[in-house]
Amino acid sequence: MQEEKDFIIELLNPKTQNQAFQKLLHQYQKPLYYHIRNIVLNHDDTDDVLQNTFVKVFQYLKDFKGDSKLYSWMYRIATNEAITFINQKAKRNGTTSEELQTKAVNNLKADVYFDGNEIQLKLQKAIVLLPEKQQLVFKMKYFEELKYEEISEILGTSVGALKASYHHAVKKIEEFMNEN
Amino acid sequence: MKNFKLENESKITSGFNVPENYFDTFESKINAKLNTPEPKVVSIFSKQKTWIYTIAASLVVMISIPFVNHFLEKNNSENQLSVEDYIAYNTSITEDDLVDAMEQEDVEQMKVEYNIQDEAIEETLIKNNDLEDYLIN
Repeated sequence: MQEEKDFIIELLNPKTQNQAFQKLLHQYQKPLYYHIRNIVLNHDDTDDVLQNTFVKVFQYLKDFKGDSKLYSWMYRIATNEAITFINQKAKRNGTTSEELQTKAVNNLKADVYFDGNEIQLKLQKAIVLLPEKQQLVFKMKYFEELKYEEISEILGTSVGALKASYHHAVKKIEEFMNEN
Repeated sequence: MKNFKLENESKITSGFNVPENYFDTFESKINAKLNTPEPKVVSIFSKQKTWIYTIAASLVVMISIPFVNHFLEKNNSENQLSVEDYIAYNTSITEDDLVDAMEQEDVEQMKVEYNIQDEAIEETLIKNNDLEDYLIN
C-alpha cells in the first residue's frame, strides 16, 4: 500500500511523472488490452479504446485522489471507455449495442486475431446472449481471473451481487452449451 | 453437447490474439500521442456561426425597435411642453380663444370638483364673521 502511495506521488510530481507513467503503461497495457478486447471483441477497436484509455488516465492523473486503488481506477476508465465506444458505434450504425455485439461474435470466425476453436467460439456466442452486467462479470472473473474483491472495486458492486451475477451467467452459459 | 459444466471443462481461454510486436510498439504510440498537442478541433458548426451571429444581430435590432420608438415619443412630449409654454406666455391669445380651440372633452377634464361638505361651509362661516358682511352687501 505504501508502495502504491509512493508511486502515485511519483506520478503526480512533474519531475518523475514521465518515468512513472512509462512504468504504468508497461505494467497495465496487457491486462487492460485484454479487458477491453473481451468487451469490444475486435482488435482494431480495442487498439482505439486502449489508446483513449491511456490518454484519459494521463489527463485525469491530477484528479486521482487515491480514494481507490490505482489499478481499479484504471480498469474503471477502460471499462467506461469500452462501453461508451460500443454504444457510440451502435448509434453510428443505427443499431443497438446488443445487435452490434452479436454481429461482432459472428464475425469472430473470420477474425485473423481470433484463433479460438469450436468450443471457444461457442462460449463467446453464449456470453453475448447475457445481460450486459453479467457479461462483464463473467469475462472479468472467468477470462481475466480477477478476484471478486477486485471486480467489486472496479464496478462498484457488492461482492454478493457479483457472485450472484456470475452464478446466473454460468448457469445460462451451461444451458446454451448443452442445447446447441 | 450434454452435461456441459464449466468447472469440469479444462479452462477455456478467450482465444484473442494480438498482432506481432503490438505491445512493443504500443508504448511509443501512446508517448507520441501524449507529446503532440491535440489537433485543434474545428467544429462543423463554425461555418454556421456567421449565420447564427447574423440572426442574433437582426433579432437584437427587431427587439429594440419598440424601445427606440418609445424614446422618440418622449422627445415628442417635450415638444408639446414648449408649445404649451408658448401659448401660456403669448398674451395675444385669450383664455376664451383657448376654450374655443379645445374639444368639449378637454374642457370636461379641466373641471375641478370641489367636494365641500355643508358642515365645512358652516364652520368657515362661523370662524369668519366678516363673510356675513360680504354676503349682505
